[in-house]
Amino acid sequence: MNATLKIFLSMSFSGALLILVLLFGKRFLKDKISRQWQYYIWIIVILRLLIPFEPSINFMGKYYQAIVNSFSEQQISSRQPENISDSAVYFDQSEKKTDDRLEHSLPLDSPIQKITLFLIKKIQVIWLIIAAALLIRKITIYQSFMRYINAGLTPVSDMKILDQFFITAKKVGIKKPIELCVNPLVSSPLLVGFFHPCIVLPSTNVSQKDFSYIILHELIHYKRKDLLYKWLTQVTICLHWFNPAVHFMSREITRACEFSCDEAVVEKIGYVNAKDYGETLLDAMAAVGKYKESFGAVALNKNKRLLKERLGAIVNFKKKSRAIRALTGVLTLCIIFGASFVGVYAADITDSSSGKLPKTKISSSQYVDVDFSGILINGEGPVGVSLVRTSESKVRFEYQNMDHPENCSVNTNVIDDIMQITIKNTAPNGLSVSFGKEPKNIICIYIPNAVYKTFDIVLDQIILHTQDFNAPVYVTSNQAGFSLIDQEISRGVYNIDIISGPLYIEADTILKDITATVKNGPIDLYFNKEPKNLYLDTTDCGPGYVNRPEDWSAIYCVGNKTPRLILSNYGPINIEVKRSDDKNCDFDLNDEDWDDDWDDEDWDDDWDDEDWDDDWDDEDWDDDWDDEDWDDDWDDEDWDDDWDDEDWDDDWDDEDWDDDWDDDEEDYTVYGIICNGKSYYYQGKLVNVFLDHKPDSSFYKLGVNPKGTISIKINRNRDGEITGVSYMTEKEVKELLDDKFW
Amino acid sequence: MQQISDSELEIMKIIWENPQEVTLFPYIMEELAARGKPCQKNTLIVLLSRLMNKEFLKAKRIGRRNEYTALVSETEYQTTQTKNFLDKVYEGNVKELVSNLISGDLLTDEEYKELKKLLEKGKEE
Repeated sequence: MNATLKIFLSMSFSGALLILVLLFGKRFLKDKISRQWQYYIWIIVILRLLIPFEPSINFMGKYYQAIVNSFSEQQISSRQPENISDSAVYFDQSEKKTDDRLEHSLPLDSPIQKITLFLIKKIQVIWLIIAAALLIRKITIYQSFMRYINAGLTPVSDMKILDQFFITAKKVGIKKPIELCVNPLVSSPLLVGFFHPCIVLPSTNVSQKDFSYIILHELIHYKRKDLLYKWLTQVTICLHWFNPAVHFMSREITRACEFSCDEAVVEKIGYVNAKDYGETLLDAMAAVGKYKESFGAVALNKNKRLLKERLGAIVNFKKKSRAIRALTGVLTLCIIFGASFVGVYAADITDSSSGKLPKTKISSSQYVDVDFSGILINGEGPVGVSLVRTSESKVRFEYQNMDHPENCSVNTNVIDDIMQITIKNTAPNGLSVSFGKEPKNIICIYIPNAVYKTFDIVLDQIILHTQDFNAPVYVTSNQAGFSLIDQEISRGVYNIDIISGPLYIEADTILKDITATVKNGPIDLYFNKEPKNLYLDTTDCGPGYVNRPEDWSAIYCVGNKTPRLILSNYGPINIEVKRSDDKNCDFDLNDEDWDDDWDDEDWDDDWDDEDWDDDWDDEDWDDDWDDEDWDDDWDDEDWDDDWDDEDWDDDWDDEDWDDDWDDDEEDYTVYGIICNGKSYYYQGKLVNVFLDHKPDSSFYKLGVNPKGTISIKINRNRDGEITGVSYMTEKEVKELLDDKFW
Repeated sequence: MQQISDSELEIMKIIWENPQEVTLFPYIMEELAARGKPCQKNTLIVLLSRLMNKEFLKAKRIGRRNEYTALVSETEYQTTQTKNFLDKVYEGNVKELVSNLISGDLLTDEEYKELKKLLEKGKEE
């Protein structure tokens, strides 16, 4: 859901809370406190409903922030120091729960979810259209009413009446000349016109006293800018049309408007004359209901019931005692305080405070249910976002080399157990994003490796780079690319919707379903190992360059026909499979130390064995992971230590590792080079010798994989910028290797 | 030409009779008071603005004061009003109007002679 709409909804909600409190309070205090107070207090509510001020910027800010922080809401300051490591911001999950039942990722029933998702995406538009339609309708009604009023309008030309009118105006403190007109079509006196105010009377043929009361009432409406107030209320209703409380509020304001105006009149004419004024009101009620004047104008009377109440109130008006006035002062402060305190995120506080969970230690080898069960990312770029699995128990944010960190804001929030991350970056002149060794303009989000119920990502102009997460993942991306790269895509089920931009998926093995639609853009799918089980549907792809392995048809089935990969796009598609016997991870497995460990437990066979793959695909295997006894098994073999061993963790979590991995991939991807671990692929072939060095020798990179079939080098210009890729001749390779190794 | 109310006509008369080219606000106020019809400042402002809306007057703002100039001369106004009156009461018949004026003793002898002269002069031309 859009961030604006969410803020708006929370505004509406906190506004509704205030309205309910005020309506409730009114029942008890109606006659005790000033009517004018009862009228103006709604301004605070209207401001609350219209202005999305966050409590952090008002005087309550600090306290609010402190409270909110304890409920695990965090706003990440956009002012970041230059140093990357210093700029890392931790999102601490102060309350953790470890669920003993290790959950599977939930299966997703796509049609319903898709429709819901679609509606949610469009809901902002629907809301705005309805709001605009309502406002236009109100304006047209007002215009037709004004035409009706103007039709039979005669200005009062009697100088005596005009004089009396302006003398009264002066008494009220109005210096500006106001038009005074007569229109026999109106049933009761009213005030119209924003810029050229005009008081319209049904007739001037009334007693001197009545006339003065009537104009006094209307002049006070004018003095207090009631028309403006009314229109502000109408705009609020239009925007918050879905909120019934706002409609109640509008009704209450209209009532309070008349009551308070009566009170002001009685204050002016003296409490002893209250009864006379009431009689005037009754006389003025002679004819009502010729036209719906109540809207857009401040009419003297609304309806008989209201009139009855008003008469009752008028007779009871008393000067408020000092105690009452002090009380109203305190009450006002309370409400202002309340309005700012039930801030934009009022809903969150109640939500996250309800579930208190014990703190538990999390060991790296198990999935952990963190205390949010899903993640929702909303982003607006241009900027790059990288989602990285981490064994840490915290969600961590890192700005990597942002050009203008001050333009970037990242907000997190937990609502309904869903961690909501809102990213917004502005770069009016565009910016370059790089995921390489020198990451540029990247917001890196480290997310704990856990089981999530949902993972919704909605991005606009954000290049997203993600690893595999255990969740049903929905990605909607507009005007930017998306890459899903991992050794195994075995955790999440993916639903990808790209409006325009490239899609890149690369993995050794894919074990979970992926559905991807790219409205306009290329798809690249790389299997770093020959898939054993697969159902791949690419019938809806193209037009343009379509590249699949030779023996693959548009629908390719193998093994047990899972996972299902359904890809469709408008643009070129490239599917490649690495068909070499080597396993890409064997640089680790070949390690002697490692081998020993594995040998001890007769594991080596399993790893090298071709059946190994089957094991991974095997459903039983999944059960093993979920099995509670699983931990015990490992403990029995003293394996736990190895797994928990810090060194081991370092290998995987080590930033260098990540960097290597990220760096090559993105820098070189542009030129068609894919890097996985320490292996490079160019045009789908494993690279034997890979050479990249800057002419000034500030940077040198050599990669050798004996199993590779081709040798390439990166060409760079004097400034060190990549200009292209070329094959190396055998001679060059020989020279290079001789130079280096012998 | 739009119709103007009696109070508005009163103001127009003051402006028409003002020997100066332009009329200032205080002058009108004084004149009104002199004629026994004092009024509130705002009353006059409203009346003047109505006259401007009806295009009888234009105002030129100089500093903080307005200089009012008549857009319609007294004669023009009288002619139009007379025409309206003729059309309304005599259906455009001037003879009937004049005979009514004479038979109704609405003309003094002097006025009658002057009118006669005016008529003869008009004939010669």
